[in-house]
Amino acid sequence: MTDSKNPLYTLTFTARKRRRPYNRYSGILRTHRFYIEYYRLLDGQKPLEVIEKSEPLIAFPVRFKEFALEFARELGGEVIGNRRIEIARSGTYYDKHVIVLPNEIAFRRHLLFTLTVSTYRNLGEARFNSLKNIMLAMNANLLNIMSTMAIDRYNELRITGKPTWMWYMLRVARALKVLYRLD
Amino acid sequence: MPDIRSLDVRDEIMNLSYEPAVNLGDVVKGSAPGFIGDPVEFFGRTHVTDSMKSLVIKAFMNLLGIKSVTVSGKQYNVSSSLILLPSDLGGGKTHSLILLYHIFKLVNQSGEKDDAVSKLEILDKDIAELVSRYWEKIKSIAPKIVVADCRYSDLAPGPARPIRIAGREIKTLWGYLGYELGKYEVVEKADSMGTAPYVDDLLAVLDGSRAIVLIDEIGRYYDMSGLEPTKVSVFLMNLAEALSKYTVREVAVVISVPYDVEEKRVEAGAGMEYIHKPELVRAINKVLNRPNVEIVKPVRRFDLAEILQKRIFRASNTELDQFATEFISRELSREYPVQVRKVLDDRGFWREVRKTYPFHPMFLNVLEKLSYGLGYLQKTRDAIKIAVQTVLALKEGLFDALEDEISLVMPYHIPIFVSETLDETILRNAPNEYLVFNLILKNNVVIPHNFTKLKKLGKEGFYKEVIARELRNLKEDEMKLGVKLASIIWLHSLIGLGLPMNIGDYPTTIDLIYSVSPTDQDVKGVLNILRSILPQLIIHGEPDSDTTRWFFTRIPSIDDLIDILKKNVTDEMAKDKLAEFLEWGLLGKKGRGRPPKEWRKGSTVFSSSVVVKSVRSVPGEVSGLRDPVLVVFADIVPGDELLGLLKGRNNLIALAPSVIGVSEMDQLAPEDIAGIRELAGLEGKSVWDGLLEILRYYIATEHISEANLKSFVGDIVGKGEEEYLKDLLELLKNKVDSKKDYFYKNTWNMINRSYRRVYYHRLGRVFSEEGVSLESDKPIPVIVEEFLRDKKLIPEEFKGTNIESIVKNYLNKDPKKDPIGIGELWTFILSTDKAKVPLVAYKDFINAVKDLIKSMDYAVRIDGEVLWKPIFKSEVEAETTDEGSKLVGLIAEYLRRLGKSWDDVQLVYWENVFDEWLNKVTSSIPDNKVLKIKDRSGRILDIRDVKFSLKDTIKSGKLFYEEKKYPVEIKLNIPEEMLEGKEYVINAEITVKNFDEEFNVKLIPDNGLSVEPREFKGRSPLSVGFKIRAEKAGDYQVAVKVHSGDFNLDSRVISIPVKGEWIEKTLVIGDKGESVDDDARVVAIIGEEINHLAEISRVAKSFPGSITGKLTLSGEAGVLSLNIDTDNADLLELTEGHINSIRNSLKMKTADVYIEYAPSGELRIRDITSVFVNPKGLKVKFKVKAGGSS
Repeated sequence: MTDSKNPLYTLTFTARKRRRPYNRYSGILRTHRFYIEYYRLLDGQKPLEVIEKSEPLIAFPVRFKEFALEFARELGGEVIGNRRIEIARSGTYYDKHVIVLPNEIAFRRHLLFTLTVSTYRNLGEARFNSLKNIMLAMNANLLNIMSTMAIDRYNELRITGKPTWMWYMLRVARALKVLYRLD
Repeated sequence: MPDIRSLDVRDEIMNLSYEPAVNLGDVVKGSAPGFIGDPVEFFGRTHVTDSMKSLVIKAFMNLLGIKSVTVSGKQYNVSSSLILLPSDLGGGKTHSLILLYHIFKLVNQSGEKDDAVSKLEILDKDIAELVSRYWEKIKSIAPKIVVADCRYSDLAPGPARPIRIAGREIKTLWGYLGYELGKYEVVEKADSMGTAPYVDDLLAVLDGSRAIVLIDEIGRYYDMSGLEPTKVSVFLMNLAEALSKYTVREVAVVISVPYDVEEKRVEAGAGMEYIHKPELVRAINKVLNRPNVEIVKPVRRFDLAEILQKRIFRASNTELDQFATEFISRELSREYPVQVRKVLDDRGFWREVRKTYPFHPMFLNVLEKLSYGLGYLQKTRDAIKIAVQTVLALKEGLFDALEDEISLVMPYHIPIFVSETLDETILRNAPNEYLVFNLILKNNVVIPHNFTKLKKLGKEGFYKEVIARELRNLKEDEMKLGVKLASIIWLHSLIGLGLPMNIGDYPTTIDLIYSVSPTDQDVKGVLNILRSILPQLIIHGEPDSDTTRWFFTRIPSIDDLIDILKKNVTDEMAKDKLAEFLEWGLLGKKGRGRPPKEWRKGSTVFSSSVVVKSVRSVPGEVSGLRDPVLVVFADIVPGDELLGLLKGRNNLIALAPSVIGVSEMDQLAPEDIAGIRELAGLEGKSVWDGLLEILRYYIATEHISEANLKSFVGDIVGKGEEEYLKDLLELLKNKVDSKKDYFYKNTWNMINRSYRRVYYHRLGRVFSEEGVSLESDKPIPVIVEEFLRDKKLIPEEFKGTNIESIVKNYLNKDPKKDPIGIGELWTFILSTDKAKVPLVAYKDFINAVKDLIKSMDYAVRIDGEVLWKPIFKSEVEAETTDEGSKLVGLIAEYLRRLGKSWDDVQLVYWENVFDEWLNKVTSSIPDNKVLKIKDRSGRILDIRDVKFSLKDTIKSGKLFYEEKKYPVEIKLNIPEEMLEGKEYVINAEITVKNFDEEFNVKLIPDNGLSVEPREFKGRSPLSVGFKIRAEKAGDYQVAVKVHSGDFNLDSRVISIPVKGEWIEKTLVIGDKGESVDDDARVVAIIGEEINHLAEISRVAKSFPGSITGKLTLSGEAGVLSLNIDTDNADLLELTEGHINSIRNSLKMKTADVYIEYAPSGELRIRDITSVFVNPKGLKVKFKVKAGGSS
């Protein structure tokens, strides 16, 4: 772990309201969708402040945030904040974890992991394990290319304002799945 | 047919003095045991093989000088007076020489021909016949017998040990021959100088000497005589040359050679080169290169059966034949499995066993392979020894534990569990590389014990102490067969030294089946069990193929490797692997890859299922699902965490090995421990521990790589043996695969044992149901669903009535009064902890809702809009289409258009919204259409004309529109109230669209109603007026027929209610006066005091109406004035509630009150009297029927 006083990357989850409720779910997911947000910190910035005030480096709808959280811990991430956010008039809530990732490579691994995970409809422990192992062992060069591609696509596609931008970005993860023969 | 154990054996076998290593010298000197030294006894025990017979006959021919003879149809030719008997140790040479010695001695000593012939007949009829034929000639020759047994100095002298006779010192074999044949002087010089004799000298000695010369153990003479080997060799060469001369007569020389002859070249057998010098091989080669040397191999392989029969059993050939016949006829009448029957027939067992009885053909085969294949054993001698020990072991009852009835000596009867047999026979003199087989034997087959201990063991003891550990846990039948098969495989492996390159030495599956046949057991099945449990058993080929070869190898067992690797496997890895197993299980398929199509059949209730290790990692995407979800835990779960997960989620079902605080964990059953070797150390532990242990083994096996195997066998295989290494690796890989299969199977076994309970949340706590049983090849959700159906948690079917009963019983609402919100009801089912609600899929729930809707008992309200009976486009459609489905279709369409879901739907009992609905329907009838109803009895009515029991008629009928060609519209102005006995004028306007001609209107009133005039004529629009009068109050109808000539344009019915006349009166409550009829209708209530406010507001709250009036309060603090004009009783109540505070604040002195309440509907006096508390001074205006109907 690099100097913990000066972490480079941090991530958090935010629930954003869906345009119309998704009836497949009955809890918070019925009305909201979780987004994962990654932030880059400058020297001396405090993660909690940055999350409040600045634009994320990349943010996209994430699925299986429990696994994303677990993987962050596995990468040496540190949970520095956890607020319970109540959703008005619905009686539901969620935990907003703020996690600081120890270094850039961890951030990239995590980004690629959450991207891939978000393309699954169903995810169990065994699949999570195999994906985790692939991510942990992935060559840093490939990792750099793939994650940079995702960030670039995010920046290009977001400004177009098309509602399908996320699908185009998630293609990076789908390519990864093809590459590693994951189904 | 007797049991083998009851067959008599010869005495010397019983007392173990049969010592088959007979010695020619002993016989000559008379020191041999009786059964060898006595010719008759000896003949009885000798099976004369074809080659022995030919040896005897040829010796006679040489002596008699006959070159060709025919004995019992077979012609014998002899080409040389020198006969060589080549064979390895124990091949029967010495026996043959003794036989020759006995025959010639018998012939010499017998005075009577018959006496000699009868004795020879015991031996062999052909020999007896030959002797009888040439008796005279033989007697005239009176053959001398010269025996040179090189083991003894007095029978084969050398310079080291000369013989001194009559002043002579005989120092060589040739000197001895010369002396014995009375021609010593010919070879005297060569003898005394120790040089080899010349050919002509030898010829002179031997030619015409009328002698039979038997030379045994010539090999030893090289080493012991003290002569230079070359000299002995030259002697042999010269001897051969001399005797192969055509002219040589009346002499027969027989020399035994301790080597096997193949194509006239001697080969030093394995192990033999250590005993004899290479010179010997060379010399004998030279001798054999002479063209005219007779070579007779005394014993050939196929003679073994007869030799053993004669040597061991007392029964004669004919008796054995009879027993064999009995055996065959009995066995042939039995039923055998196809595999056994086929092998027996293919191998010609029934023909074969007749010859070999009481030995199984495979017994002889194994015996032969042992004695020929194991270089350190003596062929005939050790074969006999093993056979004798086998028979003795049988007779001693050592096999009683394995078999009840022994009708053949089987290959597995070779008593390898008797340590004496093993040490003294099978492994005696064995080189070091064979000793490892002792270990293999102990680990895979049997544990050897000494004879005395074995005798004491008994059946149970035998199972416990003799049979190898791996085999003990099998079922008794399988264990017995397993031991037999393993014994046979072990013996063969010993021959091939367990090396893959000797693959030909090992038995095939078919061989093995044959070796234990006839048997009614499933041999292949047991072999497959052996394959997975015996650590060092290896197969070469496909496991199920008939030609696969089976053997034990001397490489260390794979189990050891697995044990080593297992140490590195952590619990976490085991749990990960378990998760993987369970995830396969969710799909219900074996191994990785896409499941076959038929497995796609999933559960109908569970929309999703997931495997997780802890509650924390259950994804929100799963726990938040609306439909039932199955969560499978790959670990033990703490009870409070599980409660946290399941609380408020009645649709979550958890499957876990154990939940702390909710259920106890099962202990490993003894049969688990007995059935799975790897669990032996886990007695008293839980099944969960057992599962993890097996998983660790599975992971270790899975992790075995080629590199592992290479380094593992690297120590055994030296350099330059790549071919061998490759073979070995191939075999080991197969072994690893079979191990993996074994662990896979047992993992599922243990998963089945561990996952017995299903957990769910109801009534505020975690419930569990026990008894679910997982299988490897059926999807887990399907299994759990079936299980929960059995337990009634998932209802057999979920119908509309189920919804009604949930509302009634759990929500305590009356569905006939209160509306049912579908979304709320679903949320209730999902999250209540007040009721034991069933587990249903949302789809099924909605289907039940649709079911309710289809019954037409409930109307649907969506966003204020009421949907009920559908209106069909035509009568035909109404007849053919189901009303319910049509309505459901309409609702779905409506929801789609609004972008709403079924959750937004409200069910309302039809009676509650009937009026609202009817209003809507009637107001939306298009101009050009008539809304008609086809009632239960099939009558078709215009809906406007249904006046009586309207609700029921409509509920039970079907509605449809009918097109009007000439829509008739009648506008009437009927007074709001019509009273009896009064005349009213009604104006009407009648319009007929699309009709320009004149038409008639006819009014037909009910009895009691008079209408004037009744007929009109005109064109559209037609305005008419008519008078109407009824003498009595009642509901009247007037039929209106609009027609043009005979053509009926439209028929309608007008309803006219006629009331009695009312008289308005006023009364002040509290005053005395006339009594008021209860049925009187209240017109207004007027309050003029402050405390009347409360009374009026109470009435107004119960019966809606308008409130008007004024309120002025004046006091010291000022004046408050209030104008009231409202329909809302609450306002009055509010005012009234604060009136006291206002009075106090104002310090009120006077109050001026006038409040009037007028009910909006009809209100009877009797209704309000119950509401009043203190009505004194209230003025009530009311009306009564003029006639005073009371």
